Amino acid sequence: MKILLAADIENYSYVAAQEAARFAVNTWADVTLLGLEHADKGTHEISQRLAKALNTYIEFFTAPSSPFAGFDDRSLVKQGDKTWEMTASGQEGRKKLRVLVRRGDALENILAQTWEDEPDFIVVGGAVAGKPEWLGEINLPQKLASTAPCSVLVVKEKKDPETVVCCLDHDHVSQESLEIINQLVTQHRAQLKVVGIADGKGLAGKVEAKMNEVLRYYTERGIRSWVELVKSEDLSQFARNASASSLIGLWLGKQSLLKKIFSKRMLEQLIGEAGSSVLILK
Amino acid sequence: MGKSLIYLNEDLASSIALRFAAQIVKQTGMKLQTIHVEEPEKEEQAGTGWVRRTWEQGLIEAGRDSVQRLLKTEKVDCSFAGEAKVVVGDPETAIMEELLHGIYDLYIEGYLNTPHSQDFHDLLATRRLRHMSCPVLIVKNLVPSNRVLFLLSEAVDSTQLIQDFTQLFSQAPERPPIEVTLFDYRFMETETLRFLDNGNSASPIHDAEKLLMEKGWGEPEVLIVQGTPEQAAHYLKDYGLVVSSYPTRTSPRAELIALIPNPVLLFKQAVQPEKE
Repeated sequence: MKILLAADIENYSYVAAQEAARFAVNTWADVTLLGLEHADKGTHEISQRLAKALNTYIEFFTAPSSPFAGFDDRSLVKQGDKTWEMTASGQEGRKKLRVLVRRGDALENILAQTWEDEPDFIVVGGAVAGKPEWLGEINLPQKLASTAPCSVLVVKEKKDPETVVCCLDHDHVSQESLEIINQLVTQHRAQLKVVGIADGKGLAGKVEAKMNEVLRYYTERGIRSWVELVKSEDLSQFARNASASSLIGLWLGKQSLLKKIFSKRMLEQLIGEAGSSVLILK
Repeated sequence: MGKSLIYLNEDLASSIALRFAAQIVKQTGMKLQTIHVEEPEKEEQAGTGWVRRTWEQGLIEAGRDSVQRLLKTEKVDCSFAGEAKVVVGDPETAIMEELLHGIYDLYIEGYLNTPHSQDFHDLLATRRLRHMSCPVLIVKNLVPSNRVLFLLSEAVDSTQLIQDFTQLFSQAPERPPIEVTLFDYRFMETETLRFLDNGNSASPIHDAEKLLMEKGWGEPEVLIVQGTPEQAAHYLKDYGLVVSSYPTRTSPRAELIALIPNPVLLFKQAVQPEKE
């Protein structure tokens, strides 16, 4: 599995880095840590504050018992006008951590790195309302969730969700998305709820069959899983209520009705208002 | 040997119900009888004599195939009473007739929970469940069947409930290793669920506790709890099967039974008034 962690210097990025590190250490995922800096820094070296923040985030990954262990003699080497890559010695672990910095428009830079790395999912922090946001870019996590070609985990404040609630309305569920959920449930010692979205005619047969498959997958792995049925017209209210204490996952596949139900504006609203993290699965 | 009737369709609710039912019938030493009802569309119901019989036979074959596919997929390990019964007609009538003629100790069906408790109240109000002659197990989710919680209130005859429940297990080859909890629920609008002192040994919950121990079910956990149905439902998620009596439609206990995601086993009792 490949993860792209996009981070700036704010507290939400600190929390997102912790979450990504727990995930990566447990799954032995390949990780790119992308530090982002504002365009007005010109062509000078990156700020001390970002360098310090990156060092803190790296520590989350590189504990002695971690597969990323050792990341010494760090040095940021300029690659182009607005990009840097960190070199380090002593990477004794089984996995390598890649650390990059890009300066400029944060959303564009995350998407550019996504096209280059082709990660399974992107981890970003989501600001609490009224707090500083992504280098002045308003609603960056929301825009990223709408536009990124892969799954996106928007990590909210540091709170373990009681339940991971995954909403499904089609039958295309990737193995990667099942594993992402499996890991998040285990990591937070949460329960899992698989929610089927019913239209006017009820739950489609192929969705039921897929829910059964998903249920079986998790039951066999000893994860306590619940199923629930929600009517499509009640979904946005249901998601808003559940997101207060649960991590909400939405499988937004190509054939997904959820895409219609969760218009871009509603998705942005859900991510903005959620008290817990939001996972957009693609 | 006792017999359970399970109503199956080729859907998720039935898959879950079948898997949970297999655990329960093994524990109780019962056999499982499956029934599937093919409900024809109104415009399909045409013809008489040979034409109608051929058409019905086709529906029965299709229904039998769907039950076979379900049984094959779920690969449940339990003892069956016989081949699947497949009937053409109205499910309410077909199930009621089968229960009337078949002499069953338990009726089982699956149900997918929704956030609207009214959907569950509507299920309990169906003819087949309203006129049920035996206990009903409604399986909403798959949980371990080795944790049982008796949901009690002042409207529940707790000793009768224990008698009826233990009677179900009377033919079990051995006492299943089940942890039992007695949960006396009292409605109150509170910030969080309150756990009350259960020191008063004269309360009915202690009679139920004594009866359980006399019947060799060990010492149960005893909880007397105040709160809203939503708070109690959230708490009960950590338990397995919830056992209670049929609730009256508008009581807080009815709301709690509707909201919990656990499977519920309901016994008919003489109606006692419940606080609204």
